[in-house]
Amino acid sequence: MVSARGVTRRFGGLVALDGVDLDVPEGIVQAIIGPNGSGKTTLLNALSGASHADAGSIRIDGHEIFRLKPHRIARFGLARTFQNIRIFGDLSVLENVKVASACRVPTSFFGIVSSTARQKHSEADIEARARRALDMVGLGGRADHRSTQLPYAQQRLLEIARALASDPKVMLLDEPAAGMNMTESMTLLDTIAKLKRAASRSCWLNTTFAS
Amino acid sequence: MKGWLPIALVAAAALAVPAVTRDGYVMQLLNIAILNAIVVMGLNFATGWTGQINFGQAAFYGLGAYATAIATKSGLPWIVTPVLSVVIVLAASLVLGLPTLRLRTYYLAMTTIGFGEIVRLVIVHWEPVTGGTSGLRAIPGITVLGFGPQGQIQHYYLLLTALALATLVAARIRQSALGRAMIATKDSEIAAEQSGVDTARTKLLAFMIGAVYAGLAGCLYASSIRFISPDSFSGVQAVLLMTMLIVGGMGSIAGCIVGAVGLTLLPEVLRFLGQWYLVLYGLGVIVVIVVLPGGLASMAGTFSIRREGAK
Repeated sequence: MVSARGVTRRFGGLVALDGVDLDVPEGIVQAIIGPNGSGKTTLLNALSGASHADAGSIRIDGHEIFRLKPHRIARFGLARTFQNIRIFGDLSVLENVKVASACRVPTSFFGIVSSTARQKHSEADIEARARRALDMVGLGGRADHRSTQLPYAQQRLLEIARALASDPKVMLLDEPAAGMNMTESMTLLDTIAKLKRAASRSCWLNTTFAS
Repeated sequence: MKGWLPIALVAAAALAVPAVTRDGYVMQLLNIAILNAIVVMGLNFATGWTGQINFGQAAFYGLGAYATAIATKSGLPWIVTPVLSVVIVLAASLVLGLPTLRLRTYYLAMTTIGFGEIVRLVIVHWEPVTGGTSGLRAIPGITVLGFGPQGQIQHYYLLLTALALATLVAARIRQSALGRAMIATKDSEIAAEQSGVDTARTKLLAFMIGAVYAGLAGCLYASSIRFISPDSFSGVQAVLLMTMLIVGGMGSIAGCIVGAVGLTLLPEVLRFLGQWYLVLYGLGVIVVIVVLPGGLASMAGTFSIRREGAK
């Protein structure tokens, strides 16, 4: 599903990624582990387009995505979360997720301004997709809360819901359990297993060695 | 259906104003306040929602006003002027936004300051067409097929309708994928991109929609106030528009109206202080920013959250 060949990323003289080859098949959960500074996030950034690789080839379902803008990569079916939480603080929990689910639903500027029947239909579709994603991570009951009011662990779940709402083929989760206690981490694992079963989706976890 | 009551009350109060005062000076001031509210609402798209600092809003306002004044004075029918104003500001904002919005916020701030200055200098120096520093007067009024508003009060109702439409469109955009994309772009550009939002396109759209608001307000300004001069669209005015947005409440549609109307009327209310009014005006702005960082509009929000908490 995702196949990368010779992915290389240099920061000045430091070679952070040196010709990484990898394949992520469909419907699996795969974890990448390593100590701090081993290049896990760099690899994730290179795959998702947040910070492009210097060389190499990255394909999703055969589409070359190397050096594409991140929003195009997202539309090809790659979603991610962030190690340092990046939720949209001025939007509600539901709206956070709607930002991502909107990328699967066509809308037009004319439709928005004149509030056509088609626009209302699209908006309902966006909302339904977002609510499904929230239910999946167990945040359905907090849809109308302000996103910044959520406790830390739930903000991480919100990021997962947001990634999920763009209906991705592969999800890259960067340190999804960081800052969570044991119970929260266990719930998270259940959720990730659920995601995989739901849509033969691949999940890819970045996790630091517990030292 | 909560939320409709305050809107209905404010609308009723606005409609009743001419019953309280028919003073020409007050009505003129209110008309300018309404036009400023439309321009500030336009500024809110790029600055309040998308987080791009835009000091070119006064120049777009001026482009709309001068395009309208020059067109109608040269004999074109009024009905073409809104279209003309929109075409001109769309072209200007596209040319200005396309190269700069790919960069980060400060570049747009610098470019728009430069753009505002260019527009002002052209207006001041192209005297045969723009009237230079003395401006243009006796601009033909609004007429469509021989009908048009007469007197301040009819203009007041017309502008109020325009403001209502501008508010409706802004509210619809806020409740749509486009509005959410704008706010997501401000909060975290990279997270928005990775959620499938084309942030470059979103920033450009926010900037251009804002320019259209300013252009149309400029068109209405020229043909309802009937006199324009470069001072109304200078860099000082651009800063003033930004102040209205900040004091009213960045990102809040109601805040745009409160900020624009408040800061347009305040100097007149404080006129009895003579030269000292600027001191009080400045202090007032500082107090609002320190006490209410979210602007005047955030007061309503704080109260409703407190009420929720008390339940």
